Amino acid sequence: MFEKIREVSVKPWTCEFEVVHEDWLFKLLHFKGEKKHRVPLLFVYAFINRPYVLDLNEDVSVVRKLINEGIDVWMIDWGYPKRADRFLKIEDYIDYIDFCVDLIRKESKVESLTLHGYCLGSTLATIYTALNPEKVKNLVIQTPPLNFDTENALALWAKHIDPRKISQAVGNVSGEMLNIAFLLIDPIRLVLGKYQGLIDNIEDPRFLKEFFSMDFWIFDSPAVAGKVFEEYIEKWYHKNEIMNGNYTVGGKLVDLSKITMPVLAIYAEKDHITPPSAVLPFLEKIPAKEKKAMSVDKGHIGLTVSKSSHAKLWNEAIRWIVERSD
Amino acid sequence: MVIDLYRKLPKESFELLFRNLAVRDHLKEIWRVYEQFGSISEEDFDKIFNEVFRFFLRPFEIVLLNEKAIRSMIPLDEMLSGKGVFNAYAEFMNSLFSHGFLTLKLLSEPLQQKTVLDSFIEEWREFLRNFDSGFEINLSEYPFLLPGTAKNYFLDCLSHWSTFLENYEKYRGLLKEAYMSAVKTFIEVAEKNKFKDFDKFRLSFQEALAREFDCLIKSEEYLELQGILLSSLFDHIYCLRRFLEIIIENNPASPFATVSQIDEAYKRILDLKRKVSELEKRIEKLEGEICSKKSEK
Repeated sequence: MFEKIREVSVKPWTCEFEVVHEDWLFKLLHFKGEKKHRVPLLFVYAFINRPYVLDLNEDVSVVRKLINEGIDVWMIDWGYPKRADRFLKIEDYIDYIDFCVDLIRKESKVESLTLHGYCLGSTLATIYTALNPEKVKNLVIQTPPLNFDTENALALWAKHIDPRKISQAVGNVSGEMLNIAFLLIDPIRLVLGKYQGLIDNIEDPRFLKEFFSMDFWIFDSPAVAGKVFEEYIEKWYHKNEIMNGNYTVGGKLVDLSKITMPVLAIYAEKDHITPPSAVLPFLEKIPAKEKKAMSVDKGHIGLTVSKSSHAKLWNEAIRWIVERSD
Repeated sequence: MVIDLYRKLPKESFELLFRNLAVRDHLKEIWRVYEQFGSISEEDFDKIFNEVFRFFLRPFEIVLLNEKAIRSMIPLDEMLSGKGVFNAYAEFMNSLFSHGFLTLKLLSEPLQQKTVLDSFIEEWREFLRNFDSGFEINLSEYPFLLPGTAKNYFLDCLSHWSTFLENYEKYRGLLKEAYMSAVKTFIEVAEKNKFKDFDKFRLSFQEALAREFDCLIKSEEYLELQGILLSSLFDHIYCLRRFLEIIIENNPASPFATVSQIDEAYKRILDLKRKVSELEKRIEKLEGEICSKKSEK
């Protein structure tokens, strides 16, 4: 029965890249490819889970699609925080984005670039853009949590926990704790339905490969640094400071009215982690004249890795990026 | 074979696959009775509840297990009351050991010559015996042995533990209640629909559960209970750790740094790193300004 599972081979990343810079925990990756457009793109990944979901396999690789269109692709990898990193702050993440943006601007000889945030990376990318609008030509936010005052289970849970008690007791919030929390927000579909589906398809090698590519990624969970977790829950979920216009980073106010460049928001209609209501009010709030929303009838992860999303949404999204990259 | 799979897969995938295989077996058993007699019993679903929710309760179970180990480090009441038994047992073990040792020595002596190593070990033991004080620490007076800064952490640690245990029971009860409510709904549907196909039977069960839990996890009762449970658990962990740390920190002979002390070092290193980075930026800016002034001249 398990023979077919034993034969499954899962290898993250399909595109070649070079690690251009390392700063203890954080890394800047530069993908190899033929550059046909002047403006580079920097992926700002989330500090939960790993960035290779954007390049999970050749059929559903957002990175590969961009490279094939001649976009110069860079990506930040936030690594796996250890106990020694428990005092990292959101400010440190924003500082590293700034370091990477300056490095890429210098290398590519451009004034500004396309910043593409994924999930909580979108939150970071938006904060950075509001603080440094002159360095961002286009802002792309994918499944972005920006309005945290939503009614989905994750948001309700976050509002009912005291993050300081957790970080004080255990330092960082471990990947295993996060895994359980993310499964428990939809226990029957994610624990029962999904694995009953696996049993039904246990003899299908193609199904198994796709299933375990996802499962290896889902459970490859870095810890969230304690102080980052406190800030994320208290300032974003409890107080919704970004949307309310009173969030500060390193003493500087994050002013959403500074976001005037073209903005593309990509979201999933059935997202139980960042529902449409986590992004649409943000789009209404920013003064950017050119702002576009694209959505699919999928969930949080399906948007990135489903073949139907790649057949339609991603072609359209990448066209939007390419048209603004010269 | 299964060990290979355990090695290969993420531990969560492995556990969930195996628990779901067990769920499938239980469901098929229920299906067989349903197919034959057209009836389902609520109790038959108990095993499925355990398979599905054991995964989520595991972190709490680990804490419960850890607690047993940690309690053994602290002379609590049950240890104190059992002291007489412990002492009697220790004396018995000592005499048994001495008996065995002497018998062995007696039997082996004619055959074995004492080596220089044997002599050294004997002398070493004799030397250590000089340090037996003969004093006993009265463990029943343990409250007075605690460092002043530790006592409140100890009391808080136990109080948070009680709150945790009480709410853990309630949490399990709430999950079970929601589960049984979904089971009842499913049984009604199954008795009405007369399913002819196992897959449809299974999917209907899953849908009933999913609907119930969608409501449960957003309910005020669940949110409040989960909040109290997590707070008491993490407060307990923190107070227990601080209590143990203070005992170590107050022992002048302890060669160990505690987690809190190491955390403080990490914090200072990170603060210094930020200052260095800030200085680098300032220097870079100044260098730029100097260069532009020079080029203006």
